[in-house]
Order: sequence, then C-alpha cells, then structure tokens
Amino acid sequence: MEKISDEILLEYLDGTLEARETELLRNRLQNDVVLKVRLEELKQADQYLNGVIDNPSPRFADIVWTKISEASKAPTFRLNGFLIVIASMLTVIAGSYFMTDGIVELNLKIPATVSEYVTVPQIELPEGINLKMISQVLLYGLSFLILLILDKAILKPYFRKRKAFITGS
Amino acid sequence: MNHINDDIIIDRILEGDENQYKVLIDKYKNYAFTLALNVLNNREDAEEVAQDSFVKAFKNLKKFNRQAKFSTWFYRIVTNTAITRGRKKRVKGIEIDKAFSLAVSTKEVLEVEDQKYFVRKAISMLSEQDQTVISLFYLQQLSQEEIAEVTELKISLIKVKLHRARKRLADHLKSLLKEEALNL
Repeated sequence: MEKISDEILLEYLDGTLEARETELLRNRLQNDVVLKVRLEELKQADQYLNGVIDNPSPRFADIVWTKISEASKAPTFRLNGFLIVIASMLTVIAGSYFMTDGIVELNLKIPATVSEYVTVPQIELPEGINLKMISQVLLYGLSFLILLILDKAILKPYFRKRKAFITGS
Repeated sequence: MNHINDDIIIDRILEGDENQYKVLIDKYKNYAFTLALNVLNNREDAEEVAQDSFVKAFKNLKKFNRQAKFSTWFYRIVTNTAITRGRKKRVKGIEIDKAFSLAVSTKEVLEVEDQKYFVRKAISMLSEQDQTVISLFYLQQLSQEEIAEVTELKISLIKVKLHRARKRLADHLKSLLKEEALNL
C-alpha cells in the first residue's frame, strides 16, 4: 500500500476495506502522524454529520393536512361542458366541409342527349342571392354559437366555482 | 421491516382510510425537512418544500408502484422539489438565504456555537448535487443503491460523489472550526 488516499481512509471508516488492506493501514497509522490527523478530520466530519436532523415547525403536520384537504376541494373542469363544445366544433367542421365542397350547382348543365327526353325544371335564383356568402355567414354564426356554449358550459361555471373556493363562500 | 410497515399503511390509505397518511407525515417530516434545508439553506423554503412534497406524494400515491421503498420514492420527490425551488429562486435573482455567510460576525458565531451550525455551513459550501447525496447518506442513512435510486444517478457515480463530498465536507469543517478558534 503505497499512497493512502482519502478514499481508502473513508472506506476504512465505513468498514468496507479488505482485511489485508485494513491491517496494512493500521500499521501505517501507528507511525504516520499526518495520516492519523487526516483520518481524524474525516472521522470528525462523519460524527458531526451522523444523525443531525432538524425539526420543522410544530404545526407542520396540520399544515400539510390542510393543504391536502384544500387540494381535494379545488374545482375541476366539467366534462359535460367539454363534450358539448367538442361536439359543436365537430359539427361546424363537418358542416363547413360539406358546404364548401358540396355546394349544389342549381343551374345544371344537362347534356343535349338527356334534355331531349327529360324536361329538367329550370330553377333560377334571384340575382341578389349569393349562396357562397350565405354559407359563410352560417359558418361564422355557428362559430359564434360555439364560443357562447364554451362560455356558458365551461368557463362561467369554472370561474364561479373558483371564486367561491378562493373567497371561502 | 420498516418498508413493510409503510406498505401496510399505504394499502390502508388506498382503501379509503386517508387519516393513515398522518402516520407517514409524522414518520418522515423531520427527514424531509432536513433534506430540503440542506439543499435550500432557508427554513421557510425548506418547510414549504417539505409540505408540498407530502401533498404531491399523497396525490400520486396510487401511481406508486412499490418497486422501490416508499422512503426512496418520497425522498426523490423532496429532492426534485427542493432543487427546482432553488433554481427558480436563482433565476428570479433572489439570493438564496445563505444563513451562514462569511460576513457573519464573530459574536454571532460564538452565540451559535452548535454542531448543527457548523454542519449546515459546511454543507452549504457544497454543490447542489453533493448536498443531496451527503444528506441522503448521513441523515437518511440510505445505502448507495438507494441514493442512486433517489437521485437517478449511476451507483458508480454515487460512490465517487460521496467520497468527494465527504472529503470536501471534512475540509470545510476543518477550516470553519479553525476560523472559529482564531476568532475566539
């Protein structure tokens, strides 16, 4: 055992050093004052640290229990409200898809061969009516309706509960 | 045996007897507080962190999978919460209340001549991770394997850190006690 490092001294203090090395170290300690002093420093640190436990305030457990009770009473989101909003949004998305993609052309171009045998009623829309604009207005209206439902079904109840929770009423 | 008792208590809590959690609070509050105090060096913050850790542990008790001991799992919560709190304070530019700044007067040093004082001061000089490892080793009497579980570091690294931290601690204590002796 040439050089005795702090690691070896710590292992000796912990009792994890091998028997042969322990014996060698003990022999060295008898003659090496510097090594002995260093071992004492490490031992003192160990003794100082072992079992130094601090205590929290006397009301610690009560405060923890109060926090746990308050956490369990905190308002949560209403699932029903969420479902209504999601269903409305899906309706709008589906509706907008069909309205933009499947706008019915009322002025049909019937092939000449068909028109010989079939009389297709001619439906002429008044000039002022813009079907595309009507569908857009409907879409925006539905979106506005969704925001109203979001407010009534989710946001208002949540903030009402939260206010009651905070004020303690 | 200890952890078997904890498992029994947890079973009762999960079955509905939530008051049993108070047993765990009483059992671990001192250790949780001391661990947080070693990291944060501020009693108020340490107490809040320890309290929040108990609340978090209670909320997540159903998710505790029993692969580790409850104490190991819980100390991990305390450690992470304390480290996060410490970092938040540093980001906000709030000086972590170093109760043992070097500017403390001689008179105060003499008045607070106490083993805990020197230990706290010496621990505060270590890095955040070393503080945690040292606390778990000495105060919670955890094995290196358990410390590795709590800190999520490799066992080989824990051994190195522990040795290094203990050496530094010994050096800090030596210089603190020497400083105190010179000031007397």
